Amino acid sequence: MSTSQSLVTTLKGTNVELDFHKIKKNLKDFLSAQDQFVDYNFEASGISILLDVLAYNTQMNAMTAHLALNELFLDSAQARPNVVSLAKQLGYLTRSVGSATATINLTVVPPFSYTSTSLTIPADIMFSGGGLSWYTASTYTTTKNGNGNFYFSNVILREGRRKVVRYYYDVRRSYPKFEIPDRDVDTSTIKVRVKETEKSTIYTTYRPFTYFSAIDDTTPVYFMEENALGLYEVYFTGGDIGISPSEGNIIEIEYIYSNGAAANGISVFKTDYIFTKAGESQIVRATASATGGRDKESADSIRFNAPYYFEAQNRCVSFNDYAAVIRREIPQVESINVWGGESNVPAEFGRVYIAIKPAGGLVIDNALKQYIINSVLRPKAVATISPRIIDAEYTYIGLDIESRYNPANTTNSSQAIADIIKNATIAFSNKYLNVFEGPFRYSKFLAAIDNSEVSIENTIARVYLIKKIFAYANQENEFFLTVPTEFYDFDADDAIIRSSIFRLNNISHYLIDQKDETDPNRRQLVLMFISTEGDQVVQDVDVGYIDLIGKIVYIYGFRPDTDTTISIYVNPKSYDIVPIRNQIISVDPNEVTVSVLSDYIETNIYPGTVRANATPRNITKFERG
Amino acid sequence: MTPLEEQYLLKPTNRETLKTRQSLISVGRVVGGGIATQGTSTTSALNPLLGSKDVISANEMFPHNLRDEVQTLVEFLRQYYISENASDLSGISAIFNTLYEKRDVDLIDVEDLRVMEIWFREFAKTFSSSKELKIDPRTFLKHVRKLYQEKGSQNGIRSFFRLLYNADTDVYLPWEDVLIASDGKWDDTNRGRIALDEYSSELKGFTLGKGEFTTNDGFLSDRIYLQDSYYYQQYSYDIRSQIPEQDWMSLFKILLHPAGFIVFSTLILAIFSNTGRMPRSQAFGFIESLARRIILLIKSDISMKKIQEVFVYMFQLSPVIFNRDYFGEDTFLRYTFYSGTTIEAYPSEMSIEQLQHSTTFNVGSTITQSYLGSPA
Repeated sequence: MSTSQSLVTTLKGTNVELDFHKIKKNLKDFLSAQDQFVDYNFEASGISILLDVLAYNTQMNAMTAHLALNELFLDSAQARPNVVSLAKQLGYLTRSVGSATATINLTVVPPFSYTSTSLTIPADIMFSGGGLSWYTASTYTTTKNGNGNFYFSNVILREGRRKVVRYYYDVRRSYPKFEIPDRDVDTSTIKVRVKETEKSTIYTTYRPFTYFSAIDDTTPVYFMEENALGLYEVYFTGGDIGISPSEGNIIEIEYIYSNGAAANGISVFKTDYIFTKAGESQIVRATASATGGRDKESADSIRFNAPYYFEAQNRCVSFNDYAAVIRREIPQVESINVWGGESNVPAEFGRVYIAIKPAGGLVIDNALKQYIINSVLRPKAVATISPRIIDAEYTYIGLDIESRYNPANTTNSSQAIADIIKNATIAFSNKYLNVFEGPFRYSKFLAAIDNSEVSIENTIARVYLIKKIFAYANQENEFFLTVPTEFYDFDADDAIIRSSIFRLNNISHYLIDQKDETDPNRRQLVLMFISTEGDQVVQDVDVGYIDLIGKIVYIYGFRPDTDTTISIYVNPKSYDIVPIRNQIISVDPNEVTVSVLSDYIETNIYPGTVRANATPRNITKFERG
Repeated sequence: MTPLEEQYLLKPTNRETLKTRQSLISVGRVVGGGIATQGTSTTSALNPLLGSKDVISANEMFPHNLRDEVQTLVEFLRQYYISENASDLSGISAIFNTLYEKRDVDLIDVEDLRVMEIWFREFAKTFSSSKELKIDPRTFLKHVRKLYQEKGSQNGIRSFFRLLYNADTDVYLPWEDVLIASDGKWDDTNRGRIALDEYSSELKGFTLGKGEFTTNDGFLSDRIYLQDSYYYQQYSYDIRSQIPEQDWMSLFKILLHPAGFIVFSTLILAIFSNTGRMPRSQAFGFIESLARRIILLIKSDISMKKIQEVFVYMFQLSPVIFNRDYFGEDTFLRYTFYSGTTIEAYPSEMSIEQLQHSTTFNVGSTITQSYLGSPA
């Protein structure tokens, strides 16, 4: 909750004041009602000062009581160490900083003198990018290609700096804990090894505690928790569970500490490491910008997640359990939605669908999907249920915004106000959208625009949906697009969807729709081309269809001249857009037009408001795109 | 033999007696910058949470030689401490003195919705509030973890209804009645069979055979169903309870329902037992529920003809399908009626008593009626 309200002051039957003057008045009323002080003048200087002192003491006590009581409960505690401590009682381990990962394709061009036909990149090779350090997450091997180069595809880089700390295990200390000195450690990278003595070269690798059932009396296992200083601690059970280090053993804790979310979006990398011999050259290309970097779990997030994790009891049964477990285990998750196959369309019993949006990115990679399914969910899920992770499907919103403003109330120009409105639109999208279960609420949006600048009198916005598809030139491209809301008009004579222009056979084309006279629940997709004279001509009347009931646009296979992104603009029936299942709504800033006009009535250009010109709700023809 | 130590007529403890006991050991607490909260008390006690603190009375704050001269001031401070320590919780010290109570599940005031809400947000977040419960919230909070641990099991479903409604429930797995080819249990032993006349019980014939099916599973002629990828399939289950679905289904789906399965519900209409009958309001208050099928579970010798007469009269039902069924630990004969139209209301002119009388049900008969509502 974010309980800013005092729990003390809302306790049933209490009338506790935090205001000094009211406290003093209450005290005065109380004392003056006592027989011994009936005739006293409490405004006299001496007794008034005494009352001030006592009232101040009471106020301090009231504040202390207020804080103490609020800090007793997870839901109302404000101090993060208290939130962490209360979450521990629910068996919840707070989520650490998550280091971002990037995927690159690396080409190593060896010098002629390098004759080996295969090359291996070891793990933990350092790259740099965006002023930060990155490491190869594992080992990669390839062979020389026809050009004499070594080409590595999909090399995973992890952001952060590697570090190792060593502790001496002293049994004389009761219940010893071994602190990791960096607050920004990524706990998923921690490796704990123990060796007999300083000079030993043989290590025993300890593994993190997961389940009691996975431990026998010979299992080396460590536990971990966050302490009151915000540092993570590794500890052992002294042999009560599994095995523990012995007196004099050296404990090595290796980990990566990272910059969390600050590393998201970085896409240029290089390395000084020489993979073959001096004289080699390297080409590093990121396949996508870095994603998945997360800052340490906030108190608000702990307050939200810990009770759900407690309900899950480290198992995956209900859809909430799956979400709670994944949120806890995978720091890269920014937003997640889970639904059973019985709620899917079409229904698929025995399956659970999970849609994940990573921090700073749009989709998670296949390796992480496999890790989540095999290592996180399988051990905790119902045996006969098969979890499936699917990518988020994005629907963008385009807006034509028209605001009326009163120039007398502002020093901003209309252009400056237009910029403010556009920024407010982006801020609205960042605040309410871009997550699963993040609906676009039209009235809330208009209110945000009206409140973005003091002189704005009213606003009208037309809302369009945009599906973006990427078509490759070297293959047939078919698309199956789901739309989160109904289409504007099933029976419209004019088009209700329209695509952006793309080149086909060296001619500009676009898609629109028209009525399907044979099926009222469908509309046909029509391929149009633009002639050299600029005329818009029908080329093909059956290149796909709209399923009006299923809210689906189906585009048959086509092959554009070049790889191209095509936008499909949709006129929606409602301006409230509600995403379901794996859909995410986001405003596309490039599809926002803002027009700011002086308001007739407020500017009193026409006395008695004999003339006004309001913005029409709908345009006569849908020509977006 | 070790003598048995016995005590009789002990008073049960409740929240107030627990608070009294706690206050007895916490009376000496020092708060407010080290100033005593009990103006005249000299009690010294060990507080289990805060340790031992000696009480300083208002009088003792002043040197012996000055006390007589500042009696008014001492009284003034004493009154101040009294106001601070007002036991009705309006005093700050009283809040400190009862701080530990707020974290003691046995001492929380269930009428204090604000405090209950904060407890529920921590330990039972899916429950929007304690108001959903039919049992004491403190008992619920103490045992809710067991409910979480039983998720995904039939016991979990039973616990859910017990904790929330103190109601019986049962789970039917339609998959158990789905036809699986070659599912019959074959006994390879040679055995003989005799055939008796249906009326006279005279021997009609005798055959020797090699083996036979010991169950009807796998027989198309048995009361089994083809998989329909909806109700009769391996990922479905049917919860039978006396609580209308609209009261529990949404909470159940969030809290306990295993994702990937489909849940159906059957509403039990009424249960007659040897010892009594459920109140009519509880038994028949649901009939607005849209249903097309009635399942009558009977555990006694009741004229089938009478049953048909009553139900055809009440709901214009189609003929009966017979099967064996279970609820709790009892076995019943199940009669399924189908209505041509949705059953929306119970005929108001017929009371339960009339129904019972008109069908001449035997005293002591046990009847369970249930509706199969629309799948959730």
